Amino acid sequence: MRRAGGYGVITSPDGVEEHDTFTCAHCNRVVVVPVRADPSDIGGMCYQCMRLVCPDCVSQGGCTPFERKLELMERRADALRSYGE
Amino acid sequence: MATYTVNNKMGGSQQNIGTSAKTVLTVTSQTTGNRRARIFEINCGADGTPADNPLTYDVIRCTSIGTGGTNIVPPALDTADAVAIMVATGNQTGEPSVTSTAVMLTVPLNQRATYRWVASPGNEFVIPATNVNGFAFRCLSPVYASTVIFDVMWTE
Repeated sequence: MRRAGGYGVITSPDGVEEHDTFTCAHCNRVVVVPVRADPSDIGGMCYQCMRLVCPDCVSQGGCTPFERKLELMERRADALRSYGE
Repeated sequence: MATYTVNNKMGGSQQNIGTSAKTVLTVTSQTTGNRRARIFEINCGADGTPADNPLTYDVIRCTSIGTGGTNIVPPALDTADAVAIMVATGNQTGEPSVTSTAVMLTVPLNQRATYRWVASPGNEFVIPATNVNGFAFRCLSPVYASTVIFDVMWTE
């Protein structure tokens, strides 16, 4: 794929198998992209953040970029720490 | 940004995997001085006697480091860099608390094979700057009952 988000390689006694991957912009999960895969099978494109998303996030709908989720996680942790927990 | 690496051969005694997911390594944010880390490379494979058995490796978000593990000081790739903020714990005997819906990567693999995943910039696994939050690297097999190795590299 063009501008793959990652690269995976399986090395075995039968040889080497390579594949591209991309990382879901909403949940940070890695999606393996088989050669000549049907685009609908490997997720989709979020037209709000304009990045690739995994099939689960496609079915969920909406757009909460992973950076936003990180901020929410960290903000909660900071608040708990300020309470002395 | 500094780059660090760790694997579960660097500390503690390797634990045998079984039919349920066995954590062999965790990389988590420490309790103070939190900052984010980005895991950009993962290597995994079995290091037992070669045979044809199915294994399933996975990477899952965790919120604890488990019990019975050995704290491993991750070496920096550049020796001029400071000590890592992330905490690496290997060869746990008790499983960490994991977020069951946050399996980030699953790799079914033959015992004789190894797997390497490398992320391009911007596509790494991100560890939030949250106390003891990070990733657990696990393996299970219905047949193979020996040891595996996970090797992880990240920047922080």
